[in-house]
Amino acid sequence: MRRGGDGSAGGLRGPYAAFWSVAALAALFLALPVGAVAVRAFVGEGGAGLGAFAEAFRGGALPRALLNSALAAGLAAAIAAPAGFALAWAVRCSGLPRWARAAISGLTLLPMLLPTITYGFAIVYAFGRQGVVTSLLEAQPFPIYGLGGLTLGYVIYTLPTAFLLTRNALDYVDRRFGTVARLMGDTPWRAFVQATLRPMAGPIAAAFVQSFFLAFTDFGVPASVGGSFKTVAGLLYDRMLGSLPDFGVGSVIALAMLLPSVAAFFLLRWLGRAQTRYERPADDLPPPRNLPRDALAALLGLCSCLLTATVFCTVLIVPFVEAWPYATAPTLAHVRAVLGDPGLMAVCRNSLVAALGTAALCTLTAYAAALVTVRSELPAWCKDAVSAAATLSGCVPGMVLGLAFMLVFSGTPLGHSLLLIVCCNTFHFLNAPYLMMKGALEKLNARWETTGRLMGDAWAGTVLRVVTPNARRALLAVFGYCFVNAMVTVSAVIFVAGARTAVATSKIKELQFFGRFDDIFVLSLLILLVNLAATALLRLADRKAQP
Amino acid sequence: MLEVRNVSKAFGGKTILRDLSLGIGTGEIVSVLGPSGSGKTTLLNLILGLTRPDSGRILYDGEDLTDVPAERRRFNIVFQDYALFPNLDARANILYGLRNHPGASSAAEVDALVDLLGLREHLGKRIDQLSGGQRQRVALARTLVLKPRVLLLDEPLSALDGVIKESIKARIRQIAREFRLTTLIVTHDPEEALTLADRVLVLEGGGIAQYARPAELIGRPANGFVKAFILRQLEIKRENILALFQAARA
Repeated sequence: MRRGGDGSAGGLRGPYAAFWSVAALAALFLALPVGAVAVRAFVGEGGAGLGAFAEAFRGGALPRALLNSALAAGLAAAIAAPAGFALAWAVRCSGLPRWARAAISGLTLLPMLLPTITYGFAIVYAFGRQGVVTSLLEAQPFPIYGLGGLTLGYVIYTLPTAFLLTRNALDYVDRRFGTVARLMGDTPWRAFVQATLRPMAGPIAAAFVQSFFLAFTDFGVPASVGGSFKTVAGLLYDRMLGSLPDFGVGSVIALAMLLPSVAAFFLLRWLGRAQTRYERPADDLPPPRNLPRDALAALLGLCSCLLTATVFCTVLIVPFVEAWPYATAPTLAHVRAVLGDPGLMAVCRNSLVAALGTAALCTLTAYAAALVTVRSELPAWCKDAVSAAATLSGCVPGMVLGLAFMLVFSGTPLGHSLLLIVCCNTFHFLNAPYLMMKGALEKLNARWETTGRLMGDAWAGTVLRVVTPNARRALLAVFGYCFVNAMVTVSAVIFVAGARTAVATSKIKELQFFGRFDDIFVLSLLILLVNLAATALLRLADRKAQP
Repeated sequence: MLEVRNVSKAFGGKTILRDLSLGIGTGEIVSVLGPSGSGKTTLLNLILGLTRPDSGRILYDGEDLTDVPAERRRFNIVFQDYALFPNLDARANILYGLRNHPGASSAAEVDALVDLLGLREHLGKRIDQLSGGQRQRVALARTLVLKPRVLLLDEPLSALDGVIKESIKARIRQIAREFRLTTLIVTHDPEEALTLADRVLVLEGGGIAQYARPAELIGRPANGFVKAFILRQLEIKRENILALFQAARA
């Protein structure tokens, strides 16, 4: 359909400009840093060799941490993937009223608006020895430091993603198969297995792998409830930001973290391709009345809402009482203290600037990259290079990228600047926004650029006047995704943020060291409020952008 | 006079057009007919300048356009799906090209064109509020505002309902006469091709099977392919329709 672009080279000036901008940014802020980590693992001050590997593996700390991470992430994924699917089923396939389904979705997705490091502290305040739930039950339900707390934190972290993945997949499962199965005399359970569970096996497996990848590379949860149960992320942090940073060992640990991530990424891509494709989205017919089914759906939804509510009620309670759990009189003193602290306010400002900057740069980069691959007639190598950059961004864990930035940019004028945080976040997040943009641009009419060109437009002219206005809903969605993620991310930022460019999440890590948990919860609450406001604003803008 | 001289084109080792030559007089309507894969779309893209021929030349009034990029040939096309811009209303779509070519049509000429195509009452509508026929007329107007020397139409009737087809056919003929516009219409429907055009170009396997007036094509089909592909279809249609009318009369 888009062949035959050999008509004029002049028409490629715009596409090449877009390509080289993306390529230059990706080379500087993705390929170069990641390459530097790979090199640094093998080449130290004493020359090339495997010295760093020997050092990293000495005493068995790294293999143990790898096993610990794999165990906790595996457990969490094994819970989150089926639970996510169960909730997706409750929301999409039951006859629950619209408000109930909206509430289940909303509360299940709420943790996405908070940094993972906050989950850990919320768990401590809910299930710790003097936690809210513990005092209600008059007994601690499970030990929170170590595997138990870690797994719970990871489940809270990955459940929203597992839910989103399976919910989107359910939208493409043709409901008529269920009807046909019932008409042919199948029992409800058999009909469910045949028409829903079977086609969803791929997406549930994908949700498992994605949850594992997220948990395995997460830094926030182990930072708060890991205790002496060392994960790879914790080990990397200790070796790099402890008393004696060792770049060689850090790079080896980063590689150990990178390899499973690469495997997970390609496994996910394979699962995506292997998935059953239905020709059209399922129609939105209301399901037939079925009370037991709806009761089960309601129960599942209630469990999820209860989990979110019990854990995160602490975020809403702790900042507003004098000193939990000793003095529970309500007060606004903590909030006032944070709002009156110029240092903490500067941190919030930094977070906001970094998140807005990330949203802008990441949206632009993803848009330019997607324009190159689906709406230009550039040679195949350009398109391959762009999708390779997006792939690399999807494989590299945030901590690895953060460490890589520290390795390459410390001491340069860019070092520890907000601009560098923006660039780091951009390439940490790029893969998903790129895929979102690509999907949106593929759906637009393929002839617009040719039509514009025949009416005297340069490529960039048609892109500005026609393609961009018609892609504005996707652009808004990507902008929101990047903004929220930049507000809550901690893994990469922890290595890049400096003393004057600390953002809210990296500051929380620092406040933990001083035991200032009231401030931590107030900052978390501020992040939540900003994200809620941003989400509401974008939803409003999206409604306006609808034709 | 538009001339295609000894043009060949291959994609990835597969020959699409082989040493093709033809001439189209100014103001003439020619339809290009052929099964899928016969090279219709490639011929269209070559004339338009979206694709370069591997060999051969393309000329207009003696001027060699082979190396002139598409946007400077002053040829234009209405695509099968119209490729209208949904973020703009009908009026803004029609006037789109005038931003880059302000002098192409005067305000009065645009007005006359809008009336000719019966679009006056639809100018403020969004594209998704227009019917298929209205969309096509907006796409035609958007193209004609720029006064192209050659107008290419890719399957102009295939997306339209039966009733509206005949009126659009009449409109296309009217425009070609009024503007003395050289018009090339790609189609796969023999009835459409033969009732719309002054001459019909039948393509087969990248070469010309026959290039003739409709009556000549019917009366003296050049080979078995033209007979099988065109005459046979038309004959079946005629028999079916005649049978219908006879049954009604009986």
